[in-house]
This record gives sequence, C-alpha cells and structure tokens, in this order.
Amino acid sequence: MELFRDLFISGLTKGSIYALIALGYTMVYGIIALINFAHGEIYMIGAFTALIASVILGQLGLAGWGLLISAGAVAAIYAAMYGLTVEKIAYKPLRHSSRIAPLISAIGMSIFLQNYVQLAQTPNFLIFPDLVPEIDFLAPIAHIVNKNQLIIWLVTIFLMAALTLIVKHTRLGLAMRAVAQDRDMARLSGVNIDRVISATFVLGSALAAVGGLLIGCYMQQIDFYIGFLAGMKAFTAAVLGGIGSIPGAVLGALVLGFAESFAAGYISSDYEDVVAFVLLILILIVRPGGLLGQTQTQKV
Amino acid sequence: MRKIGAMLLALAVTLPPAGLLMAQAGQETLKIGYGGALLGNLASYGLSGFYGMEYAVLKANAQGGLLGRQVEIIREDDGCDPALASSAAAKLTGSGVKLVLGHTCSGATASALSVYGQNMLLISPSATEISLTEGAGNPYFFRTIMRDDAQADLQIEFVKKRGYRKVAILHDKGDYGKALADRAKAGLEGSAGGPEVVLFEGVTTGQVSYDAVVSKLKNSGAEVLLWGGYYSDASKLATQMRSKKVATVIVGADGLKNEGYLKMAGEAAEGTFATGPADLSQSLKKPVRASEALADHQKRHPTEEIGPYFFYSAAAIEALFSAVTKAGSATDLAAIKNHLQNDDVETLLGPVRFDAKGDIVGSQAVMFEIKGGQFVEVEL
Amino acid sequence: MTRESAHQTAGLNWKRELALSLLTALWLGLLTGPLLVCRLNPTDGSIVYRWPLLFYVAGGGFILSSVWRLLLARRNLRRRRAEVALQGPKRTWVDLLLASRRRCQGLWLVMLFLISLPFWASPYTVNILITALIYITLGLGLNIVVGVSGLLNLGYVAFYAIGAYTYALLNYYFGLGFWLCLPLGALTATILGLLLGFPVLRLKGDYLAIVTLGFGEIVRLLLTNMEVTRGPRGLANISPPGLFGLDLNALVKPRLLTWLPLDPNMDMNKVFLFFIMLALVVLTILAVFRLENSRLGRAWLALREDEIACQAMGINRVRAKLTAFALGATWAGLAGVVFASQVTFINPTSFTFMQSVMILSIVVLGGMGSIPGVIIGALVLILLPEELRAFADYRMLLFGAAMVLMMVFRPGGLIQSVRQVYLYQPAQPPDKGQS
Repeated sequence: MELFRDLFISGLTKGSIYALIALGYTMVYGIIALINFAHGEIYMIGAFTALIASVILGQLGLAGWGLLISAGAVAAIYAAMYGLTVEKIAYKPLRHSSRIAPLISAIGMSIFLQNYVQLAQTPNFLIFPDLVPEIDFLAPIAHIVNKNQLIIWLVTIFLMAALTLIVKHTRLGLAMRAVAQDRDMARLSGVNIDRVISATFVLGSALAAVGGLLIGCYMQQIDFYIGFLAGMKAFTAAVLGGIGSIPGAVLGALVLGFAESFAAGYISSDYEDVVAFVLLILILIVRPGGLLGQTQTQKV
Repeated sequence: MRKIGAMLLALAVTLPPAGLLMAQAGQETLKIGYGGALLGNLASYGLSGFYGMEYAVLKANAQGGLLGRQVEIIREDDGCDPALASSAAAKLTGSGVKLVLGHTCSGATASALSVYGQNMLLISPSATEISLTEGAGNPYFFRTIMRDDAQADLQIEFVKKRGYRKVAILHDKGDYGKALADRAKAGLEGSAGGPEVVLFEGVTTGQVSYDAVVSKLKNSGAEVLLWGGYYSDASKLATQMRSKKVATVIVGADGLKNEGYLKMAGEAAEGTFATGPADLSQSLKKPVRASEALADHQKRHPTEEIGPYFFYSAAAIEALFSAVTKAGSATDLAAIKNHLQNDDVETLLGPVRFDAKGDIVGSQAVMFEIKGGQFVEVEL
Repeated sequence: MTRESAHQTAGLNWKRELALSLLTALWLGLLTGPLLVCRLNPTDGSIVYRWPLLFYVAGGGFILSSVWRLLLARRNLRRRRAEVALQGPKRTWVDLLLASRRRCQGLWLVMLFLISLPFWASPYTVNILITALIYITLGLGLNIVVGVSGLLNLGYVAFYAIGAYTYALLNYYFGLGFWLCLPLGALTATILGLLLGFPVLRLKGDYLAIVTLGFGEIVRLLLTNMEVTRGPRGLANISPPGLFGLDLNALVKPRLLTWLPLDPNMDMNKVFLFFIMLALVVLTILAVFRLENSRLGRAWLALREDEIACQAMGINRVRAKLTAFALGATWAGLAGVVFASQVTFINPTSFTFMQSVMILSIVVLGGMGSIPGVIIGALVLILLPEELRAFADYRMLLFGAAMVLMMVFRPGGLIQSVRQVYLYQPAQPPDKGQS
C-alpha cells in the first residue's frame, strides 16, 4: 500500500509538470493547427532564465518566497518573449503554407534553440538551488509528500484555474476560442488574428517556464537537453487528451503521469516509456480524437 | 530521368572534401586528432577528454613540441553516435593524422575502430567496454581508463565483505552504465548463497522525475544500490532518496566519482561510495602537478569544469608523446606501440604503461567513500 | 529588380523600415540578454558577465532584421504576383534544367563520375557518399509514405532500425552473411510496416503523426531493453559484404595503387559497399518511379489529396494505406542492412527520433513527392553538416537556422513536384457558320 501511495504521489507530480507544458502545445495547436516542437525548448529556457534570475535577485537581497515568485515571474516573462519571437520568425511567415512546412520549421527552431543555449551557457549540468522555502507543517510527512511536490501541485492548479478564467471569461479568451473555431469568421468579426495568436504563444510559454522553474527546484539540476524529453512526453499527453482541448491536455497529462509512474513501479522502469506510448496508441485506436477530443465530421 | 541538378550539386559538395585531400602539402605542425562528443547531450564528457588533451598538448608545445614540431589538434565531433563516429574517423583519416585521442563513448569507439583499422593509433580516456581490448581486431588501441570489469568486481567484493544481503542495481541504459550493471549482476548471481539482487532496472535519464524508481527502491528493501552511470543522474537519485528517507547506500564507479557529484548532491552525497583508480587519488593528494593542470585549465576556460576524464586524457597524451619521442617517429605505429607497452611514463596519473591488450597497467581500482564532503579512500 | 518593384517591396518609407530594424535589434538584445550575457559557471554557480556579446547581437540583429524584412517582402510580392497571374509555382532554372532534353547524357556523366570516385577521392568522401546514398534510399522510401500518400510518419527510423538489427543479430548469433540478410532485412521491415498500418487506419493528420512517433520510440526502447539485442552495448563486428569470400584489400588494392591515384588508406570493402549502394539507389529510383506512375501510385496521390473523394471514386483506402506503409518500410529495411555493414557496430542510439526528423526533413526540404527533389534534399542534408564541420561548435546551430530559413523562403522544397495544371481559357471565337 505504501508503494501505491508513493507511486500515486509521484504520478501526480509528473502529471502536473506535463500539464503545464502540454497546455502550451494544445493551445497553439487549437489556434493554428501546428505542433510547436520548439515548445520543449521554451520550457528549458524558462528553467535557465529562472536560474540566472535567482542568482542575480539573490545577490540583490531577495530570499524565500519573494525570490521564488520573482524568479518565476522573470522566467515567465522571458519565456513569453521567446515564444513571441519564435512565432514571428518561424511560424508567421508560414501561416498560409502547407501543414508540413511549419512543422519542419518548428523542428529547425527546436534544434536552433537547444544549441543556442548549449553554446551560450554550457553543455554541462548546472546546479539549481532549491528555491522553495521550508514548509513547517509538512515536516512530519516530508518523506511522503515533500514541499516541492506540494508546490508543484498547488501552482499547477492555480495556473490552470487562471487559464480557464482567461479563456472563459475574458475578451481575449473569447477571441482565442473564436479563432480556434473558425479563423476567417473571427477575422471578419473584427478579431485581430495576429494579436490573438501572439497571446496564445505568450500564455503557453509562460506556463512552460513556470514548469521549468519548479522542476529545477525539485531535481536541483538542469541542462540544455531537458526540453527534449519533457516536450515529447507533454506533447504525447496533449494528444492523448485530445489536442486542441484545454481540459484534455490536463487530463492527458495526468493519465500519462500516472501510467508512467505505475508502470515504473509495478512493471519495470525499463518499460515505462513503452507503456506510455502503447497506452497512447490504444487510446487513439478506441477514440481517434483523443480522450476529450471531438471527432470532427468531415464535410465534402 | 532528371538528375542533372543532382549531378551539379553532387559535384559542388563532393569536390571540396576531395580537394582537401589533394592539397596536403608538407606541414610544419604535427597533427594529432581528437574524436569525441563535442555537441549533443553527452558533450560535457567529450569536452572533458578534450580539455585534458589540450592541456597536455599546450604544455608539450611550450617545451618545444613533439619531434621538434608544434603539435596541432584536429578535432571532430561524433556526438557519441556510432554513425557520426564512423564519419568523424574517416575525416580524421583523411586529414593527415595518424594518432587520435578518443572517442568518448564505447559504442562510438567501436565504430571508429572499424574505420581506423591498422592504419591509425587510437588511445581512449573514457571508453570502458571490455570487448574493445579483447579479440584481435584492434592492434593499435590503448586506453588509460580501467575496464568495466575491474570496477564491477571491486563493487561485488565490497558488497560481500560488508555483509549486505539485498542489492539493487540500477543503470542509465547507456553503453557504459549498462555494461557495469550487467557485470555486477553476473558477478553477484554467480556466487551461490551470496547477496540477492532484488532490483535490476534501467532508468530513463533526463526525465522529469525519478520518484517512481526511488519508491520502488524503497519498496524492495535493498540495503545497497549499485549505480551504473554518471554523476549527474546519480546525484538526482541521491537527493530524491534522501528526501524520501530511503536509507540505501549508493555505490558508484568512476562515472560517479567526480567533483560534480559532491556539488550537485550536496548533503545527500555523504556516505556514498564509489570505485576509482588509485593513482588518480594519490596525485590529487600530491598537489603540485594536478593543481597546476587545474589552474592552467581555469585560465583558459574559466567557466568550464574539467570533468571526469581530464586526467585520463592528459596522461594518455603524455604517455603517447613520450613513446613517439622514443620511437623517433609519429607514423611508425609498431614502434610507438612497442614503447607504450614497454616503458613506464610518469604522468598525471602516476607511472603509465600498457599491457599486450592495450589496457593500462597498474591502475588498481580502489573504493572511496564521501566523508565530510570529500572522496576518501577506504578499505573494503 | 526594377525600380518600381524596389519601391514596392521596401516601401517608400525607408525611415519606417530603419526604425523597425532598430526596434528589432533592441528587442533581440533584450531577449538574448540573460542567456548570452550572464554565463553561469557550472562549478560554483556564479555568473560571468559578457557585455560585448550584447553589442554583437544588437548590431547583427539590426542587419539581419533588415535583410530578413527585405527578403520576406520580396517573397510576398512574388507570391501576390503569382496569384494574380494565375500561375503555378514558378519554374526555376533547376526545373528547366531537369526537363531539358540533354538529361540522359547528364545522367551518364553523373554515373561515370560516381563510379570513378573511389579511385581518386579520400576514404572520408567515400564514407560520406555511402551515408548520403543510404539517406537517399531512406528519403525515397519515406517519400512514398509522406510525399506521395500524405501520411505523416514521424517514426520511420523504426523500420531502418529493424533492417539494421535483423542483419546485425543474424550475423552476431548465426554468422549469416550480407547477401542473405539483405532480403531478410527488407522482409522484416515490410512486415513491421504492415503491423504499423493496421492500428493507424482510422487516424488522421497529426494524430497519425504522434502514433507513428510513439511507434518509433517503442521500437527503439524495446531494442534498448531486450537482452537479445544487447541493449545499449550494441552489436559489434558486423561483417561487411563479401565477394565470394575474397579478401579485397589484399587482392585488389596493390594492383590499383600502381595504376590509379588511390588513397592508401582506402578500405576496399568500403569501396565495394559504395558500389553496392550505388546500384541499390539506381534500383530504388527506378522502382519508385515505376510505382508512382502505376495505379497504386495514383491511388496514393488520390489518398493524399482528398481521402473521402478517393473512397468515393472506388479506391480501396485500406489497401492503399497499408501498401504505402509496407512498401515505404521495405526501403528503410534495405538501407538499414547496408548501414549496419557500413558502421559495423550498431546500438539503439543511432535510431532516435531525431533521425526520423532528419529523414522527414529530407523529404520536405527536397520537395514532397518529387524524386529528384528528395535526392537533392538527401545530398544537401547529409553533406551540409559535414561541410559545416568547419564551423565546429556552431554546426548544429546553423543547421537549425538553415532548416527554418529553407521553410520560410521555399516551403515547397527545393524541387517542387509540379503537377499537371489545367487552366481555363476562354474558348476561341467560333468559325463562320458554326455557333
């Protein structure tokens, strides 16, 4: 029973991180039908920026919760800027091209960003200080749920709620939904498509950056390659849940996190990735649109 | 069919490399090659080997060079990928080079060796796979690093002597880590009535969290964990094990025995064991040569670590240059081999000589424990 | 560019363009500031500030941004003009060259050049060309799936791995030779292609992409984890192809050395492999060309254009998809066998998702559905990183940038497959007496 509890907690943690990244994938896909391969790299850049910010802000005298939150804010802002720039350079010129051209462009951008960080910073692993301050009431059960895990869950829930709020109750959210549904009609209705797309990238990137910061604190180590695997898993999660659907991304991420965790615990760590992908294939065979995706009827 | 465009493009891109070969005039510098991971996610290990080589070469050049000529390093990246290694090896072969240091990973080294064949001499600071020096295929391959079996055997002895009954073995699914783990497992299971292997698994590196495997480790009740892999993953395991209050003792090999581990694992590093070569630790205690090398490196690359293979590759170059000087030639591979196998050369690792198979002689594996934030040699 | 078009592209407002470029430079400076300027020291976590880089970025950004904007404006102008004039994609000099009547002679020249190559070039060149030829085969195979049939396959490397491992395993455990394993490797890959085809029949577009990606990863992970494949330790000493058991290096080389400018380091086995691969590529091109122009090929094209219309026309969708996957996989299997004998050591790290991406890039950058396009795409994509070795550390960075630039400025690929376009033209005025 202990094992089950531990695996459940670890699955929840993993799922939360995947959710933060998967939301970016799913929102971008919903708006411009593009798989943003560079998104994993944005997550990584967020982690690096958070680390640099934490060092500088720490020198300026910040500490504790203040340091954590401000580092997170700086990381989110910078990641948003990167997301914007990537969109302007690599995706906007290709908005009216075939479906596959932006895909290749995204892959090229991903390679570029990875190597850019490797060269600008270092190919070595960097130590990431645990910025999350001690949480006293957690001390007795710290070996079951530690403070980092708790913070990851809370932040994820909070950000998801915030995102849902934005999408459902603001004008921007309305515009985003409109563009996702029918771009041309939205334009005719007076929505500024460019702004909406940019806003989508900004939101998605900011979320990923926060994920990067939290993982940095948790694992206490980052390097330029972390974006690759996390990105692929998060992307799988988004598709699993139904790409284009925000609740779907979260559900898919949680399902994936739990599946991997339990597979590693009860079967073998060797096969945890295999389980994840097999699960994906099985779910897509049964529901070709993903768990919460709408199977679109094609009109001829 | 339409291939004219292809023809023109083929001409355009193949002529330059071919042209490079044609234009080999007599050079003033003596060229030696470096093949290893300079890009990609294992770049830190490849660069570590390169920095050691760079230090030794610059030192030799400052003292007059090799055979009266300044030494120039031609470096090629292989990203630890066997296919790229084969191409890098081919490139080095065509660059007028006869002596190569590399490659970083065992798999890439095996691939490169098939290209070098009898024509080039390869000396590796980091390729530990046993099969590289077994079999007749590679007459001019040497390495300054111990083979996997030396360290795995020591780990097994340690486990038995300390009376551990339940052993977990984890690896990083890489060619180095898995080979160590396999060897350890075979050794433990081979002894009847000996310790039991309660867990044997590969961990996907670079993933978001290692919680699941740590929980599984806790659940298995293992007293000691043998880790086949590098320090970056080991430190992540260590910190997560400590935070979950998993009391299992970690035992690693030379991939773990690194300053980086101490920094990354922090408090969780205390009480970890690791095997490593004895000579290296002693030269770290004799401060002069090693710290001089460190200081020299720091001047050149203030933000780069020396990494785990710095001393191995510097020692390799020192031994190689000594053999070349004694043989009087940088191209007579048989003569160089003769000297490498028969003469003791004083290097950063201590006296270095190679045996008939190409392995380094006299490099004993010893056990270290992390006490007070330092690696301290201990008895089994 | 005429004077008027120059005005049209750059806009009469030079000041505005300059201001925008300046803003971009500032933005880039701000953006890359933290990561470029504040370099973290891995050993002690301190920061080293490198302010001069900021100026390079700002300066470079300004210049690049102006150039970028100019090129982009020209591209958009070209497109608008093309739309208005009802033209298809413009036929560039490459297209005209390929359609010329002299192409057969050109083809013979190319073949002669390639056949002569090993006898005067360096071992490095031969090695690289073998790799390029392997990737041409891979590209042509994937072209069937992605280019012609429109089925986005992101896990193509799995078939490549299966072919390579089939040969490696049979060679390692049973000592079977190259020639026997060549068809066997192709066969196992084909079977796997069929196996992949079944579950993905219902999936569309991006879902298909992710499932194939998962499939590629599953194959790689299974290869890593299974004992029989020796996992990451790989399989070594794979035999190169033999010619009736003769030792080519001992027999042939000394004679050639006296007559030809042969490089003394050249391994004759590799030369033999080069010729085998050359023959294979020629066969592949012929096969793919015939396939594309057959009923099956046209079914595939129909599948790509509109699946529902395809079905409505009576084409068996299931059969078309399955054959596309299976046949596409066959060539990957063949290429895999040759690859194993080229590098003589394989392990799962050679078959990652990035490899699938590379092969996909070959098809897309070369021109989807066009055979010469894929060939050129393979040559460029393989030879480019090798050429870029001169830039050492910046190699992959430039490569990524090159991919983005290629797509932005020429998304149809180097050689776009020009389909037959029927233009409506108003009828000629009728002759006298007819209405």
